[in-house]
Amino acid sequence: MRYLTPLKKAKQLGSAKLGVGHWWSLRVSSIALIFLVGWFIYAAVTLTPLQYDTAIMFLRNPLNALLGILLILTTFYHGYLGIEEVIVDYVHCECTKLGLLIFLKLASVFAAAASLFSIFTIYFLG
Amino acid sequence: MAVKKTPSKPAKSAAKTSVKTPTFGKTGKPTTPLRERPLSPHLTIYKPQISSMLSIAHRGTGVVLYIGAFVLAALLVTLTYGAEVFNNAALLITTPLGQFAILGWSFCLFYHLCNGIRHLFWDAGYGFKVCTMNVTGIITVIVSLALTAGAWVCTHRELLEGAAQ
Repeated sequence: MRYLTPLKKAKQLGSAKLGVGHWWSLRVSSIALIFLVGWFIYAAVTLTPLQYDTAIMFLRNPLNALLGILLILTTFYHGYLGIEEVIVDYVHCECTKLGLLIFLKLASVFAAAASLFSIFTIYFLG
Repeated sequence: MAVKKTPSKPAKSAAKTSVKTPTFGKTGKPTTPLRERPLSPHLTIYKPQISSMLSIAHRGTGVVLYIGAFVLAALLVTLTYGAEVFNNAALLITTPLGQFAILGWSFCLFYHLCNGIRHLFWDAGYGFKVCTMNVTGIITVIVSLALTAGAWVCTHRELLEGAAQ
């Protein structure tokens, strides 16, 4: 039975229908991050004190390189979604909000791409 | 995200949402909002509570972690520039300010991880009772402090052994 009438659309009170996707993406990436961050903490603890040779050796291991790639992708994706939520909640000036959201997206993609490129460079070229 | 609770003080400002006379454009679409909607969250009308403080901390730590991720990404990039560049960058970690930053960041990581798991339980529909929420909140803080301490003991063992002798 439909309780809603098209009046809500006329009054522009309907949902944007995109919120559920955002919510799910944040949860699924967070579940992945529980495991990936566990690996990251293990790696960070075993690699301390941080040295060039051991760090390179660590990243030349295929499993570590793979988990590193997954960690980078998931971290910047989850971080992007999270900060997007914070900006949308607290920034009310449309102009500033749009600027921040664009900057956030570009910065996240740039950092993720630079990190991935570094992992590939280290793995294939040493 | 933030779990709404009934405000402990009567919400004075919440009642102030004024009703404006709506104006309509040529197409019949309203050019002004039909009424001013209350903005969330009403931080000013809440008394500090465990639930709200931990919720704010979850966001705060998330922002700190996101900024730290850029620093880590930069450190990863320096690895590709060779040993000299990387060692110079890694030297920053050993400075007192660097150590303090990593201590803070690691706590943020453990807190966001533990509290994130707590959030996932809520999303699955468990742990909504106020009493349960307060207990799990306190456990989250204690566990994240313990994990931070554990990680620092593991990474600074030599320093600690040196200090003990």
